[in-house]
Amino acid sequence: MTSVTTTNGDAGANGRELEPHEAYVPGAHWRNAHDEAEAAKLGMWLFLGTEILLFSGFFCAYAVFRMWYPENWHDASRYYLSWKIGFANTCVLLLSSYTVVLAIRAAQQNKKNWILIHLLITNLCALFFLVVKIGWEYIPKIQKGELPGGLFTYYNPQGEFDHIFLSIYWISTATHGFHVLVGIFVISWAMWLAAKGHYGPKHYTSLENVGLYWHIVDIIWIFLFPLLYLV
Amino acid sequence: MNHEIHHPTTIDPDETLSLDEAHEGGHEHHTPLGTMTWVFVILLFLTALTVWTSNIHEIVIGHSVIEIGPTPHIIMAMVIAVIKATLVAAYFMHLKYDKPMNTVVVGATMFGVLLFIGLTLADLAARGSIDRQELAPIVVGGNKHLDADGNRVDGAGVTQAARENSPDAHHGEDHGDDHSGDDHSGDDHSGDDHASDDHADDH
Repeated sequence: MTSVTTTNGDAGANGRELEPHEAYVPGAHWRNAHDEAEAAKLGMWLFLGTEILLFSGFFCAYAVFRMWYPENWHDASRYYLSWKIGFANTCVLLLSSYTVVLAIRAAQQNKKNWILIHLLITNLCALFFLVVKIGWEYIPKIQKGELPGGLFTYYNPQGEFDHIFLSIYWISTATHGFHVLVGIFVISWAMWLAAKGHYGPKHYTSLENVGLYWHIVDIIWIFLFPLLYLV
Repeated sequence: MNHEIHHPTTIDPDETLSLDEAHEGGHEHHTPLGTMTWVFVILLFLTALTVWTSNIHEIVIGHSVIEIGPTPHIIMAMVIAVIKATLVAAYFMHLKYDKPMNTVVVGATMFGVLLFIGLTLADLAARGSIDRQELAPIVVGGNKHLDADGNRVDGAGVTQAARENSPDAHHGEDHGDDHSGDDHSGDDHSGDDHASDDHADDH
C-alpha cells in the first residue's frame, strides 16, 4: 500500500516522474479507487441535499406570502427587479455549469491545460454574476431604500407588502450569492490541484465534487430567477 | 488510457481490483461532449422561453381574448424550471450515469421539500375555513396594528374566510374583531369562544 513510487524506471514511460494523479492510491479501507470515488460522490450528494433543504426554507416563505398577497407580489416583482439582469445572470451561470462539465471531460482525456482553461472560464462567469448582482442590483437598491423588512424606506411602494417581497429577495439572493462566492474559492482550489497535476483520467474525484457543488448553485438560481424576476 | 495499466504504481497484491483493467479508474463513464452541448443549448432555449412566456398577458384566439393571470405564469415558470433542473441534475451532474443511490438521495430530499412546503401551504390556506382563526396584518415595525393614536385598529387581523365562518353570525354576540397583539403563528382558538372573549374584553 505504501510502496508507491513516484519515479519508476520500470514503468516503460521513459523513467519520467509520475504525475500525482497517476501515483494516486485510494485509502487503505477502500476496495478500489472506484468505490472510493463513488462513496465520495454519495457523501457530496448528501451534502447537496442539505443545501436544497436550506434553500427550501426561502422557497417556503416565498410560497406562503405569494399565496397571501398575489397581486402585491406580482407588482413588486415587476417593479423592483429587471428581468434582463436576471436573464443575463442565468445564461452566465448555465455557461459556467457547462464549462465545469468540459473541465471534467478534459480530466478524463488527461488534458491538464484544458481543465485549467475551463475552470478559469467558470470562475470568470461566477465573478461576472457577482459583479452584476452587486453593482446593478444590490448597490442601487441600497441607495434607493429598497430594503428588507423594517429597513424599507423606498418612496414609492407598489403595495402594502413590498418589504416582505424584498425580504425574501434579499435573503435568498444573498445566501445564493454567498454560495457563488464559496464556489469561486473551491473552483480556485480545484484549479490549483489541476495545475499541480492531481487530476487525470483515473482520478478526479474532488474536481467532480466541486462540479456537483457548482451545479447545485446553478439549479437553485434556475428556480430563484423565474420566482423573483418573472412573476 | 489502457496502456497506462502497465505502470506498477503499487505492488500491493490486494490492489488487484483497482488494477483490473475493466475497473481500473475511479470513474468509468466518459462525459459525452455532444450530449452535454445539446443539454446546454436546450437550457439556454428554455431560459429564453420562460422569459418569453412571462411576458404573455393575453392570448387572442379569433375574436376572443383570454387573459393570463399571475397564477398561470407562475405555474408555467415552475414547469420550465423543473425541466431545466432535471436536465442539469441528470446530465451535468451525471445522475443519469451514476449508481441509483445518488438519485435516491435527491428523491428523498425533494420529498422532504414537498412535505415542508406542501403541508405549510395546506395549513395556512385552510386556516379560517375550518375554524375561526386570526391573521394579524404584517406591517413595518411589527404587527402591532395600532393606529396613530395608539388605538387598536378595528377588524384588523381577521381573514375574510374567518369573518365568513365566524361563530358570531350564529351566536349573535359581538366578539369584536379587534383581537390585538396576536400573531397568526401559534394561537389556537379553534372555535373556543372563551379564548376569543378574553381578548375582546381587554380593550
